Amino acid sequence: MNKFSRTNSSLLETNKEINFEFNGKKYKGFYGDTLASALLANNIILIGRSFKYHRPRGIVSSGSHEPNALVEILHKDFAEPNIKATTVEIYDGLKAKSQNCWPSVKFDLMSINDKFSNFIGAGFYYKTFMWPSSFWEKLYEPLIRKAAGLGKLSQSKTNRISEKGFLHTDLLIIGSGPAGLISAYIAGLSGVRVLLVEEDFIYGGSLNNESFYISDMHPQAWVKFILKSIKKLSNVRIMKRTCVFGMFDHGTFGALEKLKDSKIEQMFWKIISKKALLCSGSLERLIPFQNNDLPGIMLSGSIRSYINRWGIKNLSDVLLFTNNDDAYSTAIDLIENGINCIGVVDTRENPRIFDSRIKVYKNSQVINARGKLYLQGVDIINKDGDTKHIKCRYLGVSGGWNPNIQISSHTGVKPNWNEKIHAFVPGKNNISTHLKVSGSANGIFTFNECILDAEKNVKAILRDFKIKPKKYQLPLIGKQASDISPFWYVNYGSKRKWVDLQNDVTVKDIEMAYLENFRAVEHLKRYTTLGMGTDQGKTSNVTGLAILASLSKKPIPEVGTTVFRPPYVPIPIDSLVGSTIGKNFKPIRLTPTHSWAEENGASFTESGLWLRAEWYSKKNELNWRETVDREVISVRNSVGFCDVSTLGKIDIQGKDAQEFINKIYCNAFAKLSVGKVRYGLMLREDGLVMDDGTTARMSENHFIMTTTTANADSVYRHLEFCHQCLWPDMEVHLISTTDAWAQIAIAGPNSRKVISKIIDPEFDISNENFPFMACKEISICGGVVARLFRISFSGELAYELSFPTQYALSFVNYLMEIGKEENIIPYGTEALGVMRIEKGHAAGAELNGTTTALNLNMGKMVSDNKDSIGSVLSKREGLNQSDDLKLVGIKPINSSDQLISGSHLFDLSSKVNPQNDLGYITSSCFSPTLGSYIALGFLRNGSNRYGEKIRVNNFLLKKEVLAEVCNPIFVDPNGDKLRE
Amino acid sequence: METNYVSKKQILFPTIFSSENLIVKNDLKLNFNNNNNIFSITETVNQRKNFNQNFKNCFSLELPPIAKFKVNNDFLAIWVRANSYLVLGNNKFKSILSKFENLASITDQSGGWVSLNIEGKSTKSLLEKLLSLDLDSFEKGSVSRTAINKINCFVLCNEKFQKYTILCPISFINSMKVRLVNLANLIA
Repeated sequence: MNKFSRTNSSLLETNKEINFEFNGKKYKGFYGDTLASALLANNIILIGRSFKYHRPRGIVSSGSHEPNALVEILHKDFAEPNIKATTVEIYDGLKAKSQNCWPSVKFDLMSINDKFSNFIGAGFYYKTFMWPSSFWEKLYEPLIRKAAGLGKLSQSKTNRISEKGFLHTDLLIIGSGPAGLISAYIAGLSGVRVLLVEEDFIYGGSLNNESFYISDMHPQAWVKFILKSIKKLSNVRIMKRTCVFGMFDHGTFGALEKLKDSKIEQMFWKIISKKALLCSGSLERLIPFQNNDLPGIMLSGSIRSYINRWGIKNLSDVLLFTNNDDAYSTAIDLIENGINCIGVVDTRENPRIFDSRIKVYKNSQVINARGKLYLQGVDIINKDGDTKHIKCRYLGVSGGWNPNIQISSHTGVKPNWNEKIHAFVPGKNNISTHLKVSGSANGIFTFNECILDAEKNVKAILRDFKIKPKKYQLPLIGKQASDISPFWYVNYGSKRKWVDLQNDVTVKDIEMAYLENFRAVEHLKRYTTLGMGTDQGKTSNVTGLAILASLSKKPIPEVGTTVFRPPYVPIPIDSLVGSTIGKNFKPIRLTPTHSWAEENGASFTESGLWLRAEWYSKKNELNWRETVDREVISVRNSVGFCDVSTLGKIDIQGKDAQEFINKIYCNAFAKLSVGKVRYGLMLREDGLVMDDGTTARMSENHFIMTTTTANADSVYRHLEFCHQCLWPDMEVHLISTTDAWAQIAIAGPNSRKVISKIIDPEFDISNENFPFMACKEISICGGVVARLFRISFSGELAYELSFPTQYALSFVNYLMEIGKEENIIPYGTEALGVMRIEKGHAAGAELNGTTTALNLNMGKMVSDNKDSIGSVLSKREGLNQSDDLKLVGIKPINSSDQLISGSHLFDLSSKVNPQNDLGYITSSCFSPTLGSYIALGFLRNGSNRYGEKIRVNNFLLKKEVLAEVCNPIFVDPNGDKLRE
Repeated sequence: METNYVSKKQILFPTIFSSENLIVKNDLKLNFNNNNNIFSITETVNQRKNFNQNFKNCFSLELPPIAKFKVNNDFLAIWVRANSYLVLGNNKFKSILSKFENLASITDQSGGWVSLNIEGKSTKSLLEKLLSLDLDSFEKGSVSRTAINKINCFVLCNEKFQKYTILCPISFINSMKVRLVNLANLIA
């Protein structure tokens, strides 16, 4: 194939040859070809096999409404199925293959399905595969799954680079046909910020397919001319290969841009626009008749595209079948390009005479197509019943034009029926104030009227923006004709007449659905699968509705339409994901000592977005238990440190800060002195526990509140809500300082010794001067500002030291050095967890959103002397029953029996069932301090049951353990170690 | 951060990134630093006039209006919310505190933020893929609280389409760097 096989009028760059492969064979095309046009130019018309019956199928259209020519594109690292050959821009090295056929598209074994078509019509699976029922899972379903489906997923990971972004504009124009281009020009010239997007890889829309002259210019030349003017306007941005696939609320649109010559291959844009103009053109529809699915039967307008845009010369013996004037433009273009146009079969009685060179079969219909793998001829019939066979290789069908209105209906607006053009048009009465529709998308099919319609809408938008339009000149041409007479399908013959080519839905299927009472349009769609393919019924929906209307003896508007939903075209899921996959799915927060922890053998665990050191393994340790046991014993015997920077830290200042805090916590804070810390319990409005933490009073009007890691954000939001909405008159300033301050817990009997070496000498942290629950602003290591809190989560003598984050790495190295004498070790969250369970401290598992202060044995903390969030509803009868769940400790009778979190608790004699369920375990661990497994849990009337034996039952693992109820504080119940 | 060394040996050293380059290409430069002191300053109720004056005296800057920032050679002041500002500079914390006394609450956030500076012709192309902001309306001197890859941050426009600063919480800096660098490598 060479450039001489194309006409001169094409838009191809015939000096740039492209090599590509289809079904393993090599072919050539030109820069500007689609895969479909290149295949047609190479005389390939058999592209694939149909969905259900595996019938041979060829190219039908020239755009994204293609129902048939679906191929698999073989990228470097993955195969992408269900791509329309009419939308693939060919490139050097492109590899594509037919799908839904085996072993080849010419000889497909599964075409045997067609022999059984009487048994597998629409909805057959509702009536068959019933017996025997046991066969369903073993045989029928696997068989159907294997046979069904269109295209195959490659299962391999794609390395295609996708990104997402946001675009803002004043006016979004969807489509760069005549209406879109003139709208962009007028609006842009008048100073509006315009974004013009075009789905195709060249601008111009339908003008690329036409040959009539505009202002003495060939339409393609006119497109270039107006684009040149548009590109000069800095306030207009134009984007091609960008398909707007959905309209959403508040002027938001989704668009997918395919990039060429870029590392990013596809961009998912969220476009936010004050106004939008839908100039998406219109799509031609087919006329069903017997065997109308043979390769070679195409849309008439698409044949015109292949001639004018892609210069295909090798179409031969073309017959046209129409009910409207448009097909005659195709006939003329065929003749002008030296292609044999056999004639036009026109359903109308007296169509206009467009050109004497065109042979017209008036008042006639095509009743049957003949051929096996491709069209070889058709039979036609006239009003007198005389039939005739006409040999032809191609048949161009034009059943009318459907305005491409899908996007205008995405927010739920139903379209209206237009009797003049026999098609649906946008439902203007309810349409969003953001969107106007222009041109043939608005049901206007002549060039002049499109231009005038576009001008009218743009001027209305300029009025809305209060902008005066600048002067411009409109391109107008001579009068064009556009007459149509409704004709939905050829009611002749018993062979199948295809309505939805992609899903193999026939006129007979629709009739059968109607007979079986699936008469609502939504039922018809789902029962027959009409319009449910990747083309979304763009060439078949209206025809199907018209057939249903005629069966129902109702006018088409009464039958209605199904709902158009985004996306307008299939969107690859990886485009919606963008770069947020794998490790990039969510951001990670690192603690200030993270790099040090990594270097020192830490294993990490996710705690929300944070990565926290779980334990620090040593080389000789066989497993994590050994490590954690060592860490716990080291802390209990000497000293260890843990990075607790992830806990929320909220700086609260202002003259009403204390009163504010007193209202937030359920326990008393009104008399908290400067230099003291207090444990605080925070309730929700409904009286259940929300979070716990500590609040330290650093000075008269300065407090530092800590929260749990998990609730840092929600507590801060809660405080802001309380301040802004409940008590706006309080003078309180809230600042989150979680990131600004590193916080290290240093715990163990030797912690004071170590701390003393760090803090500057002027600060006295003896037990007398710095008792349990004290706090102070200090400095460390020769002047670095810091805060010291004497608080303990582990139950040991402990401190938490807070200092600016940027010193964390330096500090932790220094701490290891200075603490060598005391054998200081780092410990992670696992050891921290073991120690807090040993100490009976409640944490996230106990503060699980269903528990009250009473459940936690903290009922007395809810102050009766003040009002605070949740205090009233915490006193509800339902939350104050005598046999309520209470936090208890649980020890197995056999110390080596493992207690598992989530296990449920039962009396010794009761049956294990929900009625006898007495509670559950919330946290469990092996305690190296006690040499036994232990647990915390909630048990009915638990405080009165210490010493009782119970059964701990785990349903999932089918395990049961005998255990004893005890005080939840396993270690140092009197708190002596805390106060030494 | 403030230290009181005088005759003491410095033991702790802050981890400082000072204009460390992440990307340097013809049309895009990306660097980051955390060597500023950063304070939140929240005005006490009914002290507007005095607060205003004090602010000017301390920083030689007018109070930035809503969603704006003010900058000079020594300080950058950002409007954060009603009556609350974030100030970046190289001044000592204690001396600032003493100047404001009862007029404001001061919170030291010096360790908490990292500045990422982006400049070059490809800046707009980069930011379109990161920010939901309308960059055309985001004029020089504007600041916005927004999110990049689910990381809450501040974005400041130093020069429209050419020069921007992102203030990112330090715990997220690794993820932010990875995101910016990967994207910059794709587009520049």
